[in-house]
Amino acid sequence: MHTRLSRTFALVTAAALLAVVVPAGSRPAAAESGEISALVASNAKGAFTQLIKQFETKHKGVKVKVEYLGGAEIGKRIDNNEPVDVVLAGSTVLDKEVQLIEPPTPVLQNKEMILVPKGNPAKVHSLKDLANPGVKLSMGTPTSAVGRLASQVIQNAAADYGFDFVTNVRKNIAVASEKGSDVVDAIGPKANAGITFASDVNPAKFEPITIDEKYNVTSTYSMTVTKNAKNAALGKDFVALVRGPQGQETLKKFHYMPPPK
Amino acid sequence: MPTALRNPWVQLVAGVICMAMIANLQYGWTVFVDPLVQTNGWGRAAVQVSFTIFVVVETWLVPFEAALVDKYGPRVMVAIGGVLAGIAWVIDANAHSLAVLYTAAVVAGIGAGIVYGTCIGNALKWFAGRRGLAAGLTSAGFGAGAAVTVIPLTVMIKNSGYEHTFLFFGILQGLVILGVSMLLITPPKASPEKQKVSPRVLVGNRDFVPREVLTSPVFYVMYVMFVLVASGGLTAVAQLAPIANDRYINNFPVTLFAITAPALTYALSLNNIMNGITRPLLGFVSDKIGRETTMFGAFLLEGIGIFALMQYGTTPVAFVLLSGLVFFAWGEIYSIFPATTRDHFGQKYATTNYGMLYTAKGTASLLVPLASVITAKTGNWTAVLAIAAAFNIVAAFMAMFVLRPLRERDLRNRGALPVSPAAAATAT
Repeated sequence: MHTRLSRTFALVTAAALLAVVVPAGSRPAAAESGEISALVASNAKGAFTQLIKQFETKHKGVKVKVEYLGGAEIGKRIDNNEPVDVVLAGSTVLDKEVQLIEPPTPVLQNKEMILVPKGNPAKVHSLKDLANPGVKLSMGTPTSAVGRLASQVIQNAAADYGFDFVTNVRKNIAVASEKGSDVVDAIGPKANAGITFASDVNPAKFEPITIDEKYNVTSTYSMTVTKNAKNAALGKDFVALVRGPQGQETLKKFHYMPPPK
Repeated sequence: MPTALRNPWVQLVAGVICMAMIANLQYGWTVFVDPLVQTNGWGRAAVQVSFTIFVVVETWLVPFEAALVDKYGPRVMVAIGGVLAGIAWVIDANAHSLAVLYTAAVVAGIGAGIVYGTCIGNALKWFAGRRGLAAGLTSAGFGAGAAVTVIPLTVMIKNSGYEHTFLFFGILQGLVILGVSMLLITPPKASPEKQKVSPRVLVGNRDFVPREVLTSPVFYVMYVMFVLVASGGLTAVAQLAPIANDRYINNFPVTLFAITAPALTYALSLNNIMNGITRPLLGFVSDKIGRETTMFGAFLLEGIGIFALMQYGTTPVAFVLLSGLVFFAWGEIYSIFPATTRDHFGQKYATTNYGMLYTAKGTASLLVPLASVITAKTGNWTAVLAIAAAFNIVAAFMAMFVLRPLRERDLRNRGALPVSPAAAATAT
């Protein structure tokens, strides 16, 4: 009797221990399955489509649920304290969110560039030429990242060219778009020049014209994990991949500059 | 009762101090938002609901609180308001759920509303010839307080945490208001200030009870004008950044009065300065040249200023100067309207009567989101600013051609003004 009781007790104890220990022990495996959420600046969609594939290959069973959004929307989502596992956004967005995110890791830099259609019909050869009569400009709206930075470039140049430069450039704006991709798409069909990100350069379709360093604006994009991320460890792994040699090689293919040292 | 307390200027200074002590509840709130979000894991929007609750309660309960002020006098009410304002921040210091945070906002709104309504009402009752100036100085105190304490608040949050800061400043502000409230005394039945009222200022000869005020066309004309000017001003301020961004002048450095700053930053800084200056200054002017004349000039200037900002604010310097003009011309509503209310509807219920008019500020703030809808529909801010300018011009002409004649007729009917020869001839 005593022996049977002891055996029963031992079985129940073992079962209870298993119930506690097995799920706990299985946690690392669970972390390698399921999905992580990502908010990515829309102008990095091309590169991040590839980077996500690389990450999912490295972490079998893990899916990245990504949303490509404008900076303002990303900021709003962080403001709402959404448990996002990983974020890529410009420093102007992330600087406002320091209370809600882990310290950001810079992963890439971008610059503004003038693009003209093949053949350069408006004879644009420098930033100053954008104020010439006959130029039809495609620009980002001031609420978009590409437009805000283009505006800054124009204002920087006006310090040397005079305020008339701003007035004349504004007169030449033919298309104003909210999305960086729309700014690029309008060059050719609707506009004969545009200010875009350097990463938008497509040599098959456009001729790039560099903007004088004195006036250009370099924007740094960083990745981070929100403080209440549900899968922070995997989020950090993704940041490490993008910051590492494989990620940087991919970003280089998309004409991004490496992050500041 | 020490005689010194019966000096209108002592009463005014006490009121300004109390107003400065509640300023942080509105203007200092912003520095607490991020620490509250970070510590408690709330969304920023959820935390900001607390601010909206505060503003709604602070604005819309003033008539009811003011009725108690007219009944029980300023001392006890400001003391209660101060205690509530202090308790609100003590609750905030210990709030670990949004429900508690929102409760604190209600308490803060009631406390601030009592102090605001009482201090403005007191200024109106103690002054006669300088009533506009007194109301202007008191309302300017509401903004000035935060200008002094925002930096200490920020430093203390950084060094000791937001909970300690809420606790320290909550108790300090509450105690100062409680202490200063002991200086406040019920104003006499007639304004004791010796300064004679300018003949250009129309003043009634009896006290209206609030119920009578609500049946007076003068009240509704003033209410509409208040809403028109306040909503126009609030809308123009809200559109300032989009205008500067669209015109590529937001970051353009501007040097004016030996200060250099990016155009948009400069313009926004002018908002606080001009808004502070205009309240006592145009309140003072209205004491000299009459309320309606001042309203006409200020509102017309505001309307023209907004149009000019749209048309000519395309260079950085013009943008900054015209923004300053726009800010200058709308802040005075918080001094001229209370003074006009007291002039027309009398001394005894001046606090309640202005409290009812003050709800126009709440109505105006409800109209401001409509501007965002119009901006989204039209794709730019032009239509919104044109409406804001038109609102001000309509209000300006209402002041001269609706409010003034209406008040004159009303006062003549009451025997507070001599019957005009033309009217007498018609009567005979």
